[in-house]
Amino acid sequence: KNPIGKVNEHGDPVLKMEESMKTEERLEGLWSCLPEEVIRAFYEYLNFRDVEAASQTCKSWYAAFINNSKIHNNIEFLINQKHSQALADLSRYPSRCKRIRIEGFGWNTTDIEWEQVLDCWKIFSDHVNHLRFSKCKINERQIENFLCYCTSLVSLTVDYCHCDNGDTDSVCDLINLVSVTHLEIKDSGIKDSPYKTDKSLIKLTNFMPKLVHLSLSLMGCDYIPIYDLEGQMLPRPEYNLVRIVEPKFATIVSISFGHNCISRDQLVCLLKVPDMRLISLNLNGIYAAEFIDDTVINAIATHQTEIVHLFINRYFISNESFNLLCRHLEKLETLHLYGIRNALSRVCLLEFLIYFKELRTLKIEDFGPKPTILQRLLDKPLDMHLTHLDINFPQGHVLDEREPAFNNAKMCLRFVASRLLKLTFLRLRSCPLDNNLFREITTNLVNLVVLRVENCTGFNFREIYHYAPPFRHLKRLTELELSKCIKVSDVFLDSAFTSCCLKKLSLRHCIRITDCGLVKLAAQPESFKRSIEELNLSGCYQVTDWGLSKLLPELKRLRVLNLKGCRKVTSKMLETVKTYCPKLRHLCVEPNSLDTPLILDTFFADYDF
Amino acid sequence: MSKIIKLQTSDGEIFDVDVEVATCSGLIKTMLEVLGMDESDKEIVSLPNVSSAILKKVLEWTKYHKDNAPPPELDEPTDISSLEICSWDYNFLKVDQGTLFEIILAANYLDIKGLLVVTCKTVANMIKGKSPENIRKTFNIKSGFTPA
Repeated sequence: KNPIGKVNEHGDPVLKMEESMKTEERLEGLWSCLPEEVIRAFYEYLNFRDVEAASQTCKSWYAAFINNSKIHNNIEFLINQKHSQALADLSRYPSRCKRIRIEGFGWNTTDIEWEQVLDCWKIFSDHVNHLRFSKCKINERQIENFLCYCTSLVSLTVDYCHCDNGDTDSVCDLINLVSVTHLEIKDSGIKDSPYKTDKSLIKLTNFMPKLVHLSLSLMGCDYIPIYDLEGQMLPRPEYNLVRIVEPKFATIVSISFGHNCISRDQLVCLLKVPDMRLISLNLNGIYAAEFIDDTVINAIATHQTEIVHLFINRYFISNESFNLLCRHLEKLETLHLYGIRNALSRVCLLEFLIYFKELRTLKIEDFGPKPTILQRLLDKPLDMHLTHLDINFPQGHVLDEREPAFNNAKMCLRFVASRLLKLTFLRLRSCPLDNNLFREITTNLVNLVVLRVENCTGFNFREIYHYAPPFRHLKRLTELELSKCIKVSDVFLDSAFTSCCLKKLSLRHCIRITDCGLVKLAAQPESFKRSIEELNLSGCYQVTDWGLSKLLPELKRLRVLNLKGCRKVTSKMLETVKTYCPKLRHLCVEPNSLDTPLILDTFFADYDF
Repeated sequence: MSKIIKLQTSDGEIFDVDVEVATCSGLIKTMLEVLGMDESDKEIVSLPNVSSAILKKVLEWTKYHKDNAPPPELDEPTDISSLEICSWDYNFLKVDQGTLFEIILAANYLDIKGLLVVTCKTVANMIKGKSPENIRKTFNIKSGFTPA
């Protein structure tokens, strides 16, 4: 019986429900007739337990559950000591277990518990594609016990897992790991023994001939500095990462060695591995004796010309090698260059950047001092596709007008405002931003979705927006941050946010904001008050309970509120929050500033913190 | 001056719809691409699977989201598994189950991704945390099924 009634020529139910919807009985069975793909779409937003419950209601919902590989691919099943029941649950649907996270195991797990876990594991391990060990106290042999049953593993992640000593005698055959393409290891290993960790890593990767992405980060970060008798710090233990990426790994295209101890020579060796053509290279936070310098950059430019994403910080490079880089890396789309160390002979990055034709995302410190080149660039049309830009001018906000760097930085910003019109994300830190520049940015960069201005003290909105609301051109803006912009005062909140639907607003450390500003915020148009979800007022120490009691009832959608360091706010505010902010999920306050911490504790229990 | 397309619903009513609004629907977009813009000018596109009441709702949704809240472009990865929906959508979907059901079917048929997402989230919210028996009650599903 088809409760919908008619069927069209394709056999699809015809929707003619206007009159039939009136009675309850007609509704019966309606939801069982949904196309399977729609039921599957519901499941995408539910966790395993809910999906399981829903699947037991009727035939079609069950079919959508059983015939669906996609939802199970996306659900990460969590197995930890609290949820060891989950294992038993999972073993009832072995073919559904594609993505598993094992967390917090091994700290006081008994041998019997291990046995039980492994027994369940054997049932569905065949189907696991993605496996992640997190915060486990687990040794090599135990990991291998898990791995040896996996025959279709694609990615393996091990993070924050440590064990006391390595078990080098294990003879597990891990031949099944041949399908692994992603290996990620973060802050894990054998305590105090990088050499043993090294050895087991090499052993593990030996079984993975098809590796594509290798990420080893924060290895050995738990080592406290060791001093010799003279008080000299001994070098940190070095991992022999290059040995892991031996020539057998011609398949690797993505390497991330963030926050490791690795020497320059090792790096250069690595980059020269024949047949290895990297697409992504992350060398952030490498703390070796030497910085990334010309030798490394030259090796990248000569051997790794296919790179699309490049992340480097703490570098010390010359104009020449940078020139080499931009002539060879034609495909570059993402570039993070941070922590420049040769401040005296800084490179004019902008001069070179325009040669990266495909560049989309850029995070840099300063463009470098060359006013003449900048002027020339400003004068001619330019085609850059940049959509994400993050610039930090070290000490830029305290520069004196008479210093050449001041004008130079301003010229850079003018360049950004007049030429990089495709930007959707802009973050400016410590920039000598004045009212005029700010107006240029908010007028020209109409595609901006996120605008973050941090620690820029040169603008105050006083004159710019006297006649028209700010951000009226930025129709797509959803996130605005003005943190530590100390000249921003209540005057700024005078002007209406009419045209944009801001979701996040941060006025962190805008110390001139007072209750008066909050009242002005409460008087903003309805569209603003309905869209705002996150508000950060941390460090606005002049704000009091009274101002919040005027503002909060207006912000119906508020989910996150940060009031850290608002010293005048007391526990009375909590009553306002309780009454007027039904959607609030995160509230950040400094408990010390509230006179009755006891109330705080009981009250906070109702919220997710 | 933007172009107008004529859509005919299952109960015969004809709607004049701005092409820009109509092409939020993947189905109509493909249709126009195949037919070409000029031909579609004169012809009436028939939508035998959608009633006029539901098409009205669907058009209301597409118009609102075209003008007021364009979905944010990829910048910071958004959590797609989150069940949050915006307040306008929430109020928009405060309808009886039959209508919600029809909107879902229409969104699926017309291939309007955004609408399908918010409606699915609404349904997921109704399922969340319930036992199979309670889910049956919520959706009026006949009991008597036990999975093999």
